[in-house]
Amino acid sequence: MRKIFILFISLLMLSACTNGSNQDIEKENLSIICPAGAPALGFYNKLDNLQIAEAGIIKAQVLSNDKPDIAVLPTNVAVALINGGAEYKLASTITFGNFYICSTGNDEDGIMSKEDNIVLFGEGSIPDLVFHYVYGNEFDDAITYVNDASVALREIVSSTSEADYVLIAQPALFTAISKNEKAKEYANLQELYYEKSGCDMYQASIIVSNNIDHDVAVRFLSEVKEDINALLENPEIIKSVIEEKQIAQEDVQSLFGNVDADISVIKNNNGIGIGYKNAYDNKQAIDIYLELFNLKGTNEEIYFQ
Amino acid sequence: MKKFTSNKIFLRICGFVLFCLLWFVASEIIQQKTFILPGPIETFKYMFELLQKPYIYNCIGTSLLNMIIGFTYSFIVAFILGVISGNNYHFKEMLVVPMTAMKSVPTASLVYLILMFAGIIKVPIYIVMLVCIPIIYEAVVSGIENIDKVYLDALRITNVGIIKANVKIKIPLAMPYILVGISSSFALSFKIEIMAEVITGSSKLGLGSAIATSQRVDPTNMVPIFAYSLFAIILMVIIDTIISYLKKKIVRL
Repeated sequence: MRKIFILFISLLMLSACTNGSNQDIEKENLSIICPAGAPALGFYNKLDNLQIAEAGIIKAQVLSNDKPDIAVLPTNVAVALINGGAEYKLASTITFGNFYICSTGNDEDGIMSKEDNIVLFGEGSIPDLVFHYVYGNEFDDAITYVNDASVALREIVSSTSEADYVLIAQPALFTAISKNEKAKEYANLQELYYEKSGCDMYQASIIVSNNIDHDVAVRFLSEVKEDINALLENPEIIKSVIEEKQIAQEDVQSLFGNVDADISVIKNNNGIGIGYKNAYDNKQAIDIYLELFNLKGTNEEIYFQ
Repeated sequence: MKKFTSNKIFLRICGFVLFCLLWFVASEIIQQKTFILPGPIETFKYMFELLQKPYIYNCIGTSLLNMIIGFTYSFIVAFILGVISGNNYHFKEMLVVPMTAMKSVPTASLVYLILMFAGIIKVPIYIVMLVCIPIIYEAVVSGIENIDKVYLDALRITNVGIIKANVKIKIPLAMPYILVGISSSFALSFKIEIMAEVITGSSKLGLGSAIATSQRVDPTNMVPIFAYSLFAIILMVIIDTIISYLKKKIVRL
């Protein structure tokens, strides 16, 4: 019994030491948290402080006692949180939509109609809302919902799938087409959204904590903007950074997913929808986008200026 | 020959080989193997590749450390509360509702609840604590309550102090129950810890994070998921064996 007691006390002391050292390191740099995929690519030059998490987790983290300095969230979620009292400002948007309709090759006539089997992911969330904004309720009887993009991808690749058209995001579409010869891009929802609304889709945005020094935040955002512009000019730059910092393959995957697929998609007309636009300068476009979520126009106070 | 074929280890190896054969046959029957049910050969090959990189060791170490820290804290809290409840009816009744709530609340909800108070990194530790505390608590309480009345009567007669009575007599007598609680919650804590990592989807290390990442990178390839799951199973078998050995040692004492 005595030995077991001593062992437990030792483990307690060990855990206490571990916690202390981590906190010291975090205070020196701005902590960044963002979802995996396109948003994470924008921070390829800030990997030391970057943490990936699901959007729901990021939302909870922003409201918690352990707030990140910088967070990336769906724009509608970011605005709702700030309006609800979260101590952040909406700074800029870094992804402008990466949703596509993929035809699986099962539909003989190759034209999406009410008689086909259409699979969407994220019922009630951004992909679903964008689809309905573009197409209305015309196809509602033909729609089946799945949980997320990975399940949607399986609907395209599986030989037993009965889906004719599947809503999917990049770079999952790139992966799907590489695994299913008959699959191809049927519609680009970003283009259709632009035709209908006259604006870009301000999908995911950076929010900045009010506790950060203003100049530090301005400098940070300016660096992110430069990094994203450099990425768009030369997508291979990610690989150079990874090589230079000698990041292990598995760590790269946990941050960016399939980097080769990401690079190919960016080279192909920036299919992943990454970019950088100041939020305040594009307030009107953001307000139009937020109408999808029944959110009224934003107040100037929520913007980082 | 009969002694050899009746040997526990031999029988367990036979069971494992039979399982692998069934697995192999099932994966061969299904088309699109890597997509739905990768076979043992592909899985073991991938596991072998993983073993040559530091990543898997970091993941296993992180998950184990989170589990051990969470379990240690939960044992201390549950043990203290259990001993008090075992000795005091009123205190025990006061804890009925909180313990029931802790047992019943969905683990996925706990993740979001805990995030409000702790960072992403600590979520798996707290999840393990909240799941294990009720189990160990009940084991300690049951152990103390099921002590033979003869011993309790003897304690009353001898007029031993309450702390000495618990430390020297009640807790040792309750040990079989406590050990059962420890072994069942320990195994569960590992599964829960991995699940918490998957739900948070964090880029930090851990077997759960590795599973979530592999799904993100290529959802059509199930080989990594099977491989990481097998690592978790093998670890649990090892831990279970150690716990069973320690249990026998402690009971003998």
